[in-house]
Amino acid sequence: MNWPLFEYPSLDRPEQTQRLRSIDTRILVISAASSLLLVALYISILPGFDRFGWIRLLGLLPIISVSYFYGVEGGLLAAAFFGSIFSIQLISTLLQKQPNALAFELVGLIMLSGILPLLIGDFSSSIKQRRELRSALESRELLLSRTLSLEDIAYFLIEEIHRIIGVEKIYIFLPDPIFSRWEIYQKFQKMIPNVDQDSSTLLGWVIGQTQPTIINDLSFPGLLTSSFEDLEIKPKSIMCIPLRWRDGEDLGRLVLVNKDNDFFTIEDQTRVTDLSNVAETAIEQAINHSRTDYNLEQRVQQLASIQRASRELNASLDAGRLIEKFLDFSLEITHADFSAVVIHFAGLIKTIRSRGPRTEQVTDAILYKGIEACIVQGGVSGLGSLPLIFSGSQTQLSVTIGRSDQIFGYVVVESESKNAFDITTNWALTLLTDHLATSLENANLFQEIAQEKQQAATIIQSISNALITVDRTGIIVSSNPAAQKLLEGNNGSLNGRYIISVFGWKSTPDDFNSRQLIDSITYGQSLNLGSVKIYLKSGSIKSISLSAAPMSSNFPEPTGLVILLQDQTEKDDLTRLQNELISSMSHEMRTPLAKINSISEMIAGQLKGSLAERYSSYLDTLVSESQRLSNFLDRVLNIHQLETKQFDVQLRPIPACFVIKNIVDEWRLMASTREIQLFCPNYPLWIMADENGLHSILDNLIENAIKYTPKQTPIEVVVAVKGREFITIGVHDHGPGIPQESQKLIFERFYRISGSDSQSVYGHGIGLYVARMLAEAMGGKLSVESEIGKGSRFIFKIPLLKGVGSEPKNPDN
Amino acid sequence: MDILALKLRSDFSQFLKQVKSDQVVYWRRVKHVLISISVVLILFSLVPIQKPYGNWLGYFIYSPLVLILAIQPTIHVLKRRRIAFILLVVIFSLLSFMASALNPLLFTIEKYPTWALVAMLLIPIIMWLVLSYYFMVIPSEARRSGMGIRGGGFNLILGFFIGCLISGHFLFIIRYVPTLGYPKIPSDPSVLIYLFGTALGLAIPAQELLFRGTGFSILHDSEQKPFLPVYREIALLELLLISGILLVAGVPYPLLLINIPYRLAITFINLVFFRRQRTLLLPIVVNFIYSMVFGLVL
Repeated sequence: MNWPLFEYPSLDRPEQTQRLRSIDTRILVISAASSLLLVALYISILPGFDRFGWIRLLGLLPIISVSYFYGVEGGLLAAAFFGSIFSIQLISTLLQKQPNALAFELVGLIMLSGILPLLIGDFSSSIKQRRELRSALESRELLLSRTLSLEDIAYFLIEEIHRIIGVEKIYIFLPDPIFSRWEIYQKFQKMIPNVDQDSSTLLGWVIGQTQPTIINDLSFPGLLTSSFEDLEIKPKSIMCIPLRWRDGEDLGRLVLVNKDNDFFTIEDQTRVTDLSNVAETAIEQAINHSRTDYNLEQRVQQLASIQRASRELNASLDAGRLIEKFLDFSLEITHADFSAVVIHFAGLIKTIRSRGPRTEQVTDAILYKGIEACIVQGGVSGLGSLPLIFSGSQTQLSVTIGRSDQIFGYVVVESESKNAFDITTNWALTLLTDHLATSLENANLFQEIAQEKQQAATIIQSISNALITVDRTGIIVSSNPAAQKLLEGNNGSLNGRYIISVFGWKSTPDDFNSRQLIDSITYGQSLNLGSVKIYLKSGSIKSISLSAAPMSSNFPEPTGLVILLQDQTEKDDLTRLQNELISSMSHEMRTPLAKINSISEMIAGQLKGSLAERYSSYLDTLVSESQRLSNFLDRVLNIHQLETKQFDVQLRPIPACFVIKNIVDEWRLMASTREIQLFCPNYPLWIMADENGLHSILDNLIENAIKYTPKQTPIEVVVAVKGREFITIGVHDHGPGIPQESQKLIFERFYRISGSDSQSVYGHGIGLYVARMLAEAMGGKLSVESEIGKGSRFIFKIPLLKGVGSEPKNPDN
Repeated sequence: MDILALKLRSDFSQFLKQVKSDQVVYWRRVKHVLISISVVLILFSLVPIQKPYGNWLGYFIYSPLVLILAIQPTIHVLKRRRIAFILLVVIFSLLSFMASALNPLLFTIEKYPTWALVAMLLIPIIMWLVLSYYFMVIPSEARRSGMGIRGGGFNLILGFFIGCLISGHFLFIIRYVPTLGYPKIPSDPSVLIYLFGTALGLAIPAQELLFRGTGFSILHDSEQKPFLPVYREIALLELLLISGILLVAGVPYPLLLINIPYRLAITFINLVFFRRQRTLLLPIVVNFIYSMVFGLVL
C-alpha cells in the first residue's frame, strides 16, 4: 500500500509554557526558607535553636516541593539528601544510647522522607497530566477557529494525546468526507485502508468497535495469527476510543498502540475520551465543511453536465441517438456503474450502458417488469423502487421518463458502492430525464411534421392549380409545376424573382392590381382578384384569378404569402363567346318576333268579329305566346346586360311611395281577382333608384306572389323606413312558403324550387335572379324570409335619400 | 507491514472475552483458596500442639502452591502443559523440601555444613532460572507478570532504599515493644544465607508473582478496577496469607500486629510501583529486604 507523505501546515499554536501559579511560588519560597533554617540548625548557627524539634519538619518541605515539581524520582533524591541528614542525627542519637523522643521523631521523618516523594510525586504527575489535559481542552477554541482541515485536526489531536499519555503509535480513523470510506491518519501520514479485505485484521477489529475498548494482551499467544517479527513496533496493548457525531452516530476511532508501560488503564481511557470529546466537534465541522464544499462543486459539475447534455440532446432529433447520449450522460452525472433505459417510443426500445469494460447480460423480463410498474404505479421514481437489475449492484436509482400525462418509460442507474446516490443525484437525473422527454417529444413532432410536409409537398406538386409562395418582400420562394407552367418558368426558375415583374405588372401606384398585391404582401393581408391579366415574358397575355393568404396569421409581422393562381383565359373566352351568342340571338330574334307580334295583333284587331271563334282564339294564343317569348327574350337580354355590365342603371331621386302605388295599381288592374294591399307611410320617401329597375323588381315579386299563392289570399306590399338610412319594400304573400334550404338558391339563375306546386306554375327561374341583380346594381339588397305553410316575405332594402322631402319624426313607426 | 494489518484469530473478540472471563473466574477461585488456606492455617495455629513442621508448611504453601497459583493461568498456553505443570510442581516441591530440610535450627552440629550453604544458595538460583526459562517461553505472560527488567538499576536502588527505610523503621519500632525488647540480630552467616535462600527463592517470587503479577493484572487490567479497591483486595489477601503462615511458624502476636502496617505499606508501595513501572524488580527488592529483616528479628 502506498502511504503518501505530505506536509502538514503549522497550526501556529502559542507556546504552552509551564507557568508558576501563586501556590507554586509559595511552596518554593517556603521550601527554600525551610532548607535554610534546617541548614542553620545543623551547623549550629543559631544556638539553642534545636530546642524547637518541630523545626525539623521543615526539612520535609523541600522534599515535597521537589517531588511536586520533578515527580517521584526527583523527590526521592531530595529525600535521600535530607533523609541522610536525619539518619546521621539518628545514628548519633542511638550511639549516645538516648532512645528518646528525638529518635522517634527522626525515624518518623526518615519514613516520611521516603513515603512523601511517592505520594506527592504521583499526585504531582497526576496533576500535571490533568493540567495537560485541561490545556488541551482549553485549546478547543483554537482548534475550532484555526482550521477546518482534517489533517491539521488529526495532527493536533495526536500531539495532544502524546502530551497527556505516553504511547508508541496513534491512529485516527475518520471517514472520508466525500466518499464516506475510512481514512487512517497518523501524525504525518494518511492512508486509505481496504476495509473489505482487512475484515479479519486488527484494522477490521478497530472498525468494529463501538465502545471504548482496552486490550493489554495483544501479545497473548494465538491472538494474532500473522507473524509480527518484522514489525518495528511489536503490538502489546491497544486502546480504541470510538468518536461520535453529536447525534450519537459513528464518526471514527481513536487508536492508541503500546503505552509506555505496555498497559492501558481506565484512567487513560477517561483522559483520552475527554480530549476526544473536544476533538469530535472540530472533526464534525471539518467533515461537514468538506462535504458542503464537495457538494457545491458536484452540484456545479452536475449543472454543467446537465447544460451540456441539454445542448446535445436538443441538437438531435433522432430517438436512438438521443437515448444513447442520455445513457452516457446518466453515467457521467450520477457516477453510476450501470445505466439502463427502457422506453416505449417508436416501438419498445431497451438500451443498457455500463461504465468501463463491464458488460452485463440483463434479461428483458427484469427490465420489462419496470415498464409494468410504470404502468401500474404511474411511475417508478426514487431509490430502490425496482429490484436490483445488475449483478454486483448495491444501490439503485430509477426515474420515470415522461410527463404527467404521458410516460415514455424509465431509466435505472445502479452502483456497486453503498449509498452512492442521494437526493442531489435524484434531482440531477430527474432533470436529465426531463430533457430527454422534451427531446423525444421534439423528435416525435419533427417526424410528424416531416410526414406532413412530405404530404403537403406531394399535394402541392400534384394539384392542377398554380401555387406559389412569396416572402415578405415579394420574392418567389417556391412554386409548383402548375405555377411554372402557367407563368412559363421551368424547374425552379421562378424562385428568387419578384412576383410583380413575373406578372408583367408595373410597381407604380396607378397600377391597381400591382398596388393591391404589394399591399397584401407588405401587410400580410388576404387578397382575391377575380380576373386579372398578366403579361408574360413571351409576350402572351393570360387572364388569371388570384387568391392570396398570409402564410401565418399568428406572427406579429407578415411572413409572406401563399398565392393560388387560376388560369381564366379560356373561361373568359368562352363566357365572352356565350354572351356574344346570347346577345346576337336576342337581337336577331327580337326583330322578327316584334313583327310577328304586331302583325298578329293587327290581324286580330282587323278580323275581330269576322272570324270564327275557333280561329279567333288561335290568333289570341299567337299574340300572347309571341308576347311571352318577347318578354323572355327581354329578360335574357337584361341578364346578359347586367352580367356584362351593359345595363345602364340610371339612378335618380324618385318618390318611393308614389311609384310603388302606381305599380301596385297596375297590378290591381291586371290581376283584378286578387286582393293586393299597399301599406305605405303617409309622408314622402325619396330614394335614389332607377325607376324602370324598381318597376321590374316589384313586377317580379308581385307576379311571383300572384302565381304561387292561392287566389283567395291577399298580397301585401309594405313600405317601411329602417332607421334613418334605408327603406324596405316588402311583398308579403300567404302561400306555401319556401323551404329553408332553397331560400338562398332562389336568387340564382334558372333555379326553381322542386315540388308539384311550383313546377306546375310556368316559369324559367330567372325573375328573382334579375331582381337581385337589379337591386344590387342600385345599391340595394334583396332578401327573403319565409316559413313553410305561412307564406313568404320578399324584402327589397334600398338607401333612403337624405335631405330630400320631409322626414318622419319617428321613422321606425 | 503495519500493525493494523496484523491478522487476528477468527474468534478474536470472543476469545478475549473468554480469556477475561476465565481470568476473573480464576482469581475468584484463587481468592477462595487463599482465604481457605489462611483460615485453616490460623485455626491450625490455635491448636495447642507442637508444630515441628511449621516452617515446612509455610514453604510448601509458597512453593509449589502459591507459585503454581501464580503461573496457572499461563500454563495452558504451553503446548505440553501437563508435563510442564508436573515438572514445575516437582521442582517447586523439591525446593521447598530442600529449604525445610536445610533449616539451621534442625542441625544439631555446631557448624552449618558448607554443602548446606551451597544448597541454600542454589534454591533461589534454581527457582529464578526455572522462572526465567518459563517466562522466556511465554514472553507475553512475562510482560503481564512484570518479569521484564525495566529500569533495572534505578528500580534496584530505589527498591533497596525503600526497603531499608521500611526495615529500619521496623527495627527501630520493635526496640520499644516491651515484650520483645531489643531484637538480637543473629551474627551467624548460615542463618543469613538460609533466610536469603528461602526469601529470595520461595517466599518473594511466590508473593510477588501471585499478588502483583497475577492478581493485580487480573483485577486492574482485565477487570479494569480502580487502584484502591484492587489494593484493598490484594493487601487483605496477602496479609491474611502471610499472617496465617507466620502464625503457624509461631511468630509472636505483638510482632504479627506490628507487621501488619508494614505489610500494608509494602503492598501499597509495591502496587504503586508495579502499576507505574510494570516490573517486579522494585517490589521484589523491597519485599526481600523487609523479609530478611523480619526473618532476622525472628
